[in-house]
Amino acid sequence: MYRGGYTGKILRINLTDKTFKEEPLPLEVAQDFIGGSGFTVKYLYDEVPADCDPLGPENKLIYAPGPFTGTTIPCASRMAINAKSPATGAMGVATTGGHFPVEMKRAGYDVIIVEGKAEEPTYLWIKNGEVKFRAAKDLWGLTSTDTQQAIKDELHDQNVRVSCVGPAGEKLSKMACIVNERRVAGRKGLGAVMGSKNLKAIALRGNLQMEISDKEKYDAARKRMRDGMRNSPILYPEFSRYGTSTTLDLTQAMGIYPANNWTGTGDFAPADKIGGFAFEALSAGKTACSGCPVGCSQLRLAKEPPYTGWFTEGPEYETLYAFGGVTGVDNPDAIIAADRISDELGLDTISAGVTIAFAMELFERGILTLEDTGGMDLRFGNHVAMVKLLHMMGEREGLGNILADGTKAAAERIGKGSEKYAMHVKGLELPAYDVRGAKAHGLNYATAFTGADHNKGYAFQEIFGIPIPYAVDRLATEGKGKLCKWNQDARTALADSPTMCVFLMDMAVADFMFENTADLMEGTTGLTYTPEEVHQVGERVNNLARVFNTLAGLTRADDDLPERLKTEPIPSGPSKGQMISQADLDFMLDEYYEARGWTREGIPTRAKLEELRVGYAAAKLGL
Amino acid sequence: MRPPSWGCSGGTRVPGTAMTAKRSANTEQGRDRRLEATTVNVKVRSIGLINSLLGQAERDLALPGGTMIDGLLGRLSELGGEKLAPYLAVPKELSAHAPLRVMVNGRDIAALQGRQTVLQDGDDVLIFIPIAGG
Repeated sequence: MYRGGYTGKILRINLTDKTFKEEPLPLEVAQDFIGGSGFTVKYLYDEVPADCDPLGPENKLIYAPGPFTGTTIPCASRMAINAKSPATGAMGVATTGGHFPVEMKRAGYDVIIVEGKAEEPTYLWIKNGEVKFRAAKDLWGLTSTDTQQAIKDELHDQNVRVSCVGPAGEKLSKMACIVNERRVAGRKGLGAVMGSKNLKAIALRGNLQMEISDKEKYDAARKRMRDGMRNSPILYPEFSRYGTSTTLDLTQAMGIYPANNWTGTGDFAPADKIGGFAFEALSAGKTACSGCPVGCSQLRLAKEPPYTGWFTEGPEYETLYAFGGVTGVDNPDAIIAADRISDELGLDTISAGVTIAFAMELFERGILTLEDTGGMDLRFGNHVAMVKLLHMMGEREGLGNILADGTKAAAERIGKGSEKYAMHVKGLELPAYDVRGAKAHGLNYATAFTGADHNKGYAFQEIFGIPIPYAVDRLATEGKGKLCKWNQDARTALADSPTMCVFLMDMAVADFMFENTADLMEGTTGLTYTPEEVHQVGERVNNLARVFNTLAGLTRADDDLPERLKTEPIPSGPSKGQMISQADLDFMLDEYYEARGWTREGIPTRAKLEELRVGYAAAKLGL
Repeated sequence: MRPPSWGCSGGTRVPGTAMTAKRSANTEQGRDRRLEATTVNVKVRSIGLINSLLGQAERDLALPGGTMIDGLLGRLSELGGEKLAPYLAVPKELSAHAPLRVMVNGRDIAALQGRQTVLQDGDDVLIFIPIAGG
């Protein structure tokens, strides 16, 4: 049995009949799935019908931090949230950092499962093993910051931690996210699932101290990781000082910073205005997630009209693309404002920015007219229109109502051949790397079980040149199927399931990443793994999620990329001429499925599922 | 030290781009020709930390024909002084060293001949240390 790290308890809450109960966390679930993403995939697979309506009461919202969350292991203050995604119809795991995950462990839970639908707007107040169902009628319509503050005031406790939705979640936007502090579980529309349940927020408080299985082993593993962090020449002071923002300078230099809805990659080079080094001029301090000694989160203050005074935590690199390159904007103050507005409304910045870029291209092509936009000049680069449209999407006003569900849904409503310009995979908008110049990264966009999600299988070999497990040519296609599988399984096993900050993988423990997790697990929980078994946890989670998606109706045809990436080469710059043709994609997909032990149609086999100790999933597939 | 098994092995298929064709001039025959040349002119660009230590984001360098990336980095170490040199050296273990990234005409040297990649006249060399993901 596990002897530390875990609280050993699952909290199950039913909003329909206002009941709750505690259940034990089974040993085999802890051993096989570790925590975080692993736990949420396991329970969503077990309990939610794959063909259910994502916004119906059958869907469940599942929260899970990891076994290190709440201990003194740094960079573990994260959690996963999962539900069937209204954006993709697939599993919708998202992760977030901050302070809420630690408070959830202190409140006593490894997993919280929220079921059913409340009759009236409700928020949950969890403390000392009690769950109170409190009226949220007065909170309905509030922004994310106001919601958190109003709940703290109402409970007379400023140290309560809150996970909530803004107006976008209440209005069931398929790009709505869930916000805690100024951190976000983004993408995939989990905020809409929360809103569909009439659930405005979960507030909690606790004081449980995590037990440690073997203090000596725990200290040794923790020290090795800390030494890796301390010795890293980039974690301090560089990453601590700039955060993720300098990735713009990098991707621009590589010619893979997408611009103007992916028509202008290589042409648009705004690093001197909105790159990480340029952004330092707008610094207003920094902050850190709970227990993090790095503090990559930069605070920025807009200084020029009409955005003077807007303040945000970020913008992270992805947002520097969403409200920068892809919309053709190079105004740093506008990006700061758009970042903050998105978080307040509860909109995902990537999906929102890419959807606005989609509308901009339609406007430039004459598919959307001034009448459609309410008189707005929606050409690329118009940051005032971008910010206005963002508000309209959060409140579902005018054109914003059509765009609030993302590019796929908007293209279906607009018609006129607009789908051709909708940059998404499975209904999830493309993140900030022009993958025509980074093929394994592109294959991950096509195959990640959540849709075009850079976080599920980030090809750091291609983007950063880190030669683990080996050096690769970012422009080659051969070997990328195997590499993509390796990355997806590693990321799930090392970051999303133990809920460790992923930046450690790249920058501090790169050459002992699997051992690091195995050693921390043994010291903290008493559960033992070989490095290969750690990696296999990731494979298990990815297979179970794939079974769910298959049952939900997704097929090989959904492991696709937008037409533009397959037919139009990058127009200029260091990656000029690159694309991923249908033949390239098919070649990489065949190799990927083979590496995964799936059929050529991308369906897991009984043999593979049994090898991963999830043979029970084979029957559901009719195998 | 790496985990004992990575679950997959290397191997890349490089598409036949113009850049590849240019690189293929690094055959023995191509190299011999270059060694006869007196100098090659290359543009060196740097961003971030390397840029701040070099004190110049872009510079043109004239190098002896046949100079490899290793030689260029040595030359830059001299220009950037003792603070820069460790960042340009060959890392002994990955976790304790910044992953220096060198690209020639947009192509990572890992996909060429690594530090033994021979520079050609007119090459555009980009040198940087990536800080983080997004």
